[in-house]
Amino acid sequence: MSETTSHSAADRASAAAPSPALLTVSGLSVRFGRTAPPVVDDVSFEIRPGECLALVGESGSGKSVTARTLVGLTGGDARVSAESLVFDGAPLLSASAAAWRRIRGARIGFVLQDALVSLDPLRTVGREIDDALRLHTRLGAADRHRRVIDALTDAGVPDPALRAGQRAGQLSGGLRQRALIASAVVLNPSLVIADEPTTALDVGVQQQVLGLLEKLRAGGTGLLLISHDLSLVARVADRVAVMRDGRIVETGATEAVLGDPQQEYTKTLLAAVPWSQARGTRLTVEARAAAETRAVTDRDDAHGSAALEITDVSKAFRTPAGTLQAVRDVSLRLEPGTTLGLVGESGSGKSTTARIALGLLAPDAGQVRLLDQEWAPLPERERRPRRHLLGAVYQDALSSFDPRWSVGGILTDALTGGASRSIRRYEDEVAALLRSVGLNPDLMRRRTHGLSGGQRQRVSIARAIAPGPRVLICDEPVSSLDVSVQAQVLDLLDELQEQRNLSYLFISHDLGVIRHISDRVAVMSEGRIVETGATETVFSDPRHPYTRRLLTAVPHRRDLTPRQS
Amino acid sequence: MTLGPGTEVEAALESAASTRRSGRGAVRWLSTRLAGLLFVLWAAATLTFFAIRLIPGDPAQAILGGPGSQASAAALAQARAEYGLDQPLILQYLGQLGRYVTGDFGTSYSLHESVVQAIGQQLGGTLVLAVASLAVAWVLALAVAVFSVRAGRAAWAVGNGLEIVSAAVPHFWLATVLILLFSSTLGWLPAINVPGPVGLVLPVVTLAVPLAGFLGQVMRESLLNALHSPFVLSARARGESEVGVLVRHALRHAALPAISLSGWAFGSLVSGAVVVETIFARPGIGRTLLRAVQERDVPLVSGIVLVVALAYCLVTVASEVLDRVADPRLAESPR
Repeated sequence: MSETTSHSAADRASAAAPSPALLTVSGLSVRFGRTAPPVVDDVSFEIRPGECLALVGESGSGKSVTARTLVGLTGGDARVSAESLVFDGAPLLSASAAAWRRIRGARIGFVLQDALVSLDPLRTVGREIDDALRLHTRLGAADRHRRVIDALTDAGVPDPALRAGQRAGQLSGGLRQRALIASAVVLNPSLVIADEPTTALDVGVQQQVLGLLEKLRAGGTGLLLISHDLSLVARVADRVAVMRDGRIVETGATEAVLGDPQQEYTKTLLAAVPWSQARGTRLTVEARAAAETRAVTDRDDAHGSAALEITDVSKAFRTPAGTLQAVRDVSLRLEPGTTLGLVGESGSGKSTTARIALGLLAPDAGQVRLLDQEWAPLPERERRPRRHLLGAVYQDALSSFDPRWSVGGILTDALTGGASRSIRRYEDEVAALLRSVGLNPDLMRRRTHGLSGGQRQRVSIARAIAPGPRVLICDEPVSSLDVSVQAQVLDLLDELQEQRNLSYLFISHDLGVIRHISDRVAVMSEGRIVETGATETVFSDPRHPYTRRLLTAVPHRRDLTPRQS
Repeated sequence: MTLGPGTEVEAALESAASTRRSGRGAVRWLSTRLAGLLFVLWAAATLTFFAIRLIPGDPAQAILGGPGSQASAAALAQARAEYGLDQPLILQYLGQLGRYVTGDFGTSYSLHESVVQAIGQQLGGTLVLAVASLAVAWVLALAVAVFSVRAGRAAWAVGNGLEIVSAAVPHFWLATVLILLFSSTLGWLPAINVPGPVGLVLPVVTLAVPLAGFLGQVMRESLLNALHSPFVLSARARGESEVGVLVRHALRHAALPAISLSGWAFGSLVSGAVVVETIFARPGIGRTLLRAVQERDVPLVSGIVLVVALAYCLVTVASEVLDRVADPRLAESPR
């Protein structure tokens, strides 16, 4: 960490005071339609050159709409009003369409999340970057090409000449995101707005993208960072504004807001971040009040036979580019009533391991035993009578549901092993199931697309526990949820484990979640288990270099405590 | 910080492999298409052969000038022997396939000239009609799609309604209305075939309008999706103008499904040509086919069916090639 960033907030504020604000937003409101309530309500903030302001909040809080309004792309039927909206000394609200086009891309850079869909999939990234140059400069094609290569080099893209000729779909997640940032900053804009720039990226890649944003800010660029990820914000932002329901509920220096939050909502958000809480603690405030902290030690006992045992499993896939060894000699042992966390970056073989454990994919070598009985490899016919003992919860709950079925139908189907979908006959059982996952039984007649993300994941969990399994395999079950919802779902999984003595194989790329939920952890890299052990041991004293690198890339709890100068 | 060197190495390997693959892949792709084409031609020849046998009546009678010709029993027997109609069906079928392989498509009963020659004279007119109609349909569909997407909710409804109505309009009705309006009443355009582009206008419009309705439906949907996608937002945030967004990004995405549909569209144009060429008295494959069927001219019908099947296959392959040019992602996905 450099000298400047370790200064206290007061120092930085006084140092920045003489420079005029780059962007001043005051009393900004946005509504869609004449009568709808405002999506952004009376929002005010300032950004100075070289300063990073983070707008944090959960999905639907109005963060992204605010960001789009600042580049004049709120949307067709949006009504924008503000007391003042001044960028670089010029009012933005009265800007003409042509004036907006001169500002966008040249003086304000806008980086969206997920570069896979934010770059045109049919064009090369070089042409996408070139667009900004073509629109805002009079450079010839050769000069522009040179600037494109320079921009990719600055963004830390190796082999830029090759990459410029490839499309987003041909690049890895990290390269793609850096190319997207390059396309937004190629003209050195004085303000960069980054909307969830690292969401959906692996920790290592996140680190690279953050480094890039840091570099921009150090070069005097003002940065507006939109994120729901508080740990990210803690590392990068100078100031934080917490948004809820379109309003800014709390704002101030990062250390102050995250270290000593004044508002209840900010406290809830912070408490819900899993890495700040030890194993056995409930993440939501209500659940914590209700449940005593469990002793972690008594869950570590190995009583006799394992719930799920994977021994020397390997699996290779033939791809057009050659053979891909997805899983190599993986051995895992899940003790009854405990959670084994399987962590690794995308492509490390976690999900393949899960599919083999579920008996959905035959391993090339090795075997799986479920509750001390043979499970894989075995003909499905012999597995089927014991299928109900093993359940699964997936990341994308919605696409794992048949969209035509009601919630009750889905659960009845799971309860009866596919024999019936008549809600009427099983109404009581379905109602009990819904209650056990904290949902209102009235939901049973609803269809799944109308449910919120958290509700869907709860239905998915209810479906998994319906047939009375002993073991659940959870593949990134909370990865696409907001922190507070994520916290509720993790609490629910903990509760169910306690009540039903379930064993979880819990797969995630999120080390905070893994640390929170797991009794033991296995770290996976390039198809191998590189380290395994009790959670606290692995996290406090990692042995394998890969685990160490993984852990240093992750923000720690201490990032939230006030920084010392 | 390179925490995941694996992913980058993999991406590099992947791209190198895809370059190496593309040459070999193209050969394999073409050879499967060629095999498919041969299969379609064989199936078309077989189906036509047996379907024509299902039509009631005596083919020998047709050869000798139709039911009204009062041919003698001896003449009928001679015709049967000459054309091999007295042989078992399976031998007739194999004999016909054999002749097709050697390029002998026989002699037309009704025109008394070789089938190849007869088709050769008629093919050009139909091809011009079909290609011109396809082009006009594309222009109309694009225009309606862009207009209705750009001009708000009412325009969207109008565009949608126009497309559904035009897609549902039958060729014979549209042709009649156009003739009544532009030939009989206004006198601007000829109702029957005259040489030059003027004679082409009404037939082309008749064929293009319903097709534009179909193409417009898929184009408008995908154009709207493209305009609401994050990459278009990115482009706008880069300072791209509305026209630039359409030209450089959205239209290409909108064209993809319409390109795929164009192979099918060409087939429908040929069947539409039967009606249109008859109404506007244009020479062409369609009108020839109609007459050949009426006169039970077996060799000519079979020949035309084969030519149309071939054309349909070639156009389908061409639209697939175009698909891959417009959407390079297709070339690298495993087949």
